[in-house]
Amino acid sequence: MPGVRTLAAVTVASAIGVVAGVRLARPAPTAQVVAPAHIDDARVLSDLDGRIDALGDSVSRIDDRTRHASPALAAPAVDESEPAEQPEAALTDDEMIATIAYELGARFADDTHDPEWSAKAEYEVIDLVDTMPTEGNELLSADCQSTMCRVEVSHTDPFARDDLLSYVPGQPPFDTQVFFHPGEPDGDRIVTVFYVARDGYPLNRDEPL
Amino acid sequence: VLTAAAALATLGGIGAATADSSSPATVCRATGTNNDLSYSNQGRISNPNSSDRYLICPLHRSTAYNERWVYVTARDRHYSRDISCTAFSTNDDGGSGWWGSESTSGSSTTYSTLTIDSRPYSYTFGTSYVRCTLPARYSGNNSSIARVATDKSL
Repeated sequence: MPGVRTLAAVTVASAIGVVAGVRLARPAPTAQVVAPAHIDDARVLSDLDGRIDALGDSVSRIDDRTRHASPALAAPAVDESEPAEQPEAALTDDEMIATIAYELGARFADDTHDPEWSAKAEYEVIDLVDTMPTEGNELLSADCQSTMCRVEVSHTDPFARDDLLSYVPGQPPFDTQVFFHPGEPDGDRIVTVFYVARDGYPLNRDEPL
Repeated sequence: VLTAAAALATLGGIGAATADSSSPATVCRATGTNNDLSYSNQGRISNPNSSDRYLICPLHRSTAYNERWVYVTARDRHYSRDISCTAFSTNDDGGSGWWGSESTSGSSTTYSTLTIDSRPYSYTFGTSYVRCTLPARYSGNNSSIARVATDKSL
């Protein structure tokens, strides 16, 4: 019954305020203050003390009743906690791909450069795409930093892309973790962007999206 | 010499790897036109040919769980070529997704487990599968795969 309890607490607090107010309002006895002749200080103070006691008793009774009141009589509960989060709609594949691509792009941009490893990995990419047994794929760019590479390949059509996706996995440097997604078309050619993890530096995030 | 991850998995064994969904390797099938792999009654699949073969295995994954690891129990009998496996998760047209790869190294008479960190993010695309290369028969011995498995722990 938080509502009733709140009401009781407010009442008690008000009562205390009244008491405090009354007590604070009492004139401090000073030798310079001379009470009007028609006011009997002792009688007034005694009367006020009696009212304060009665008010305290009344507050106690209200408090007792609210403790034992039926829940049905309680005021509607006021939920002061944070509003409950609405369940988020599941992301579509396209939304998820865009989110991950954005994040990996940012991580790649922030990655430091390891000249030795990056040169080796870039050469492996160039050599791998160049020696593919099938036609239709062209390497647009291969940039490696210290923990990952970003590679762009254009394809004549989805079949050429599928050839590439059948050929490169498992071969250095594509023998680790790789995320891939469509890039901006290059004229009439479709493009795939790859984020390739360096061995020992997985793309995994600590916190899932 | 196995890769570090595979070595750890070997020590733990596939039973200790909290596999959630496990299938005999005979759920796999050859890709391409050379469908001449050997399927055993014990669920193993091996390559008795003089050249490499490629196979693909379905992965039973659920978007309800954060399945991340893919396990392939394999025996590499070729002295120089490896059993290489890549676990994929892709969207329906295959133009987006991710993969993770692991491979054996060197020849062994016993099975070991490749543990593939298949997914960089906690998201599963619609299609999940693992693709493996089985090296050619070497000195009368066939390289083989016994089973594939996933778990639901992230």
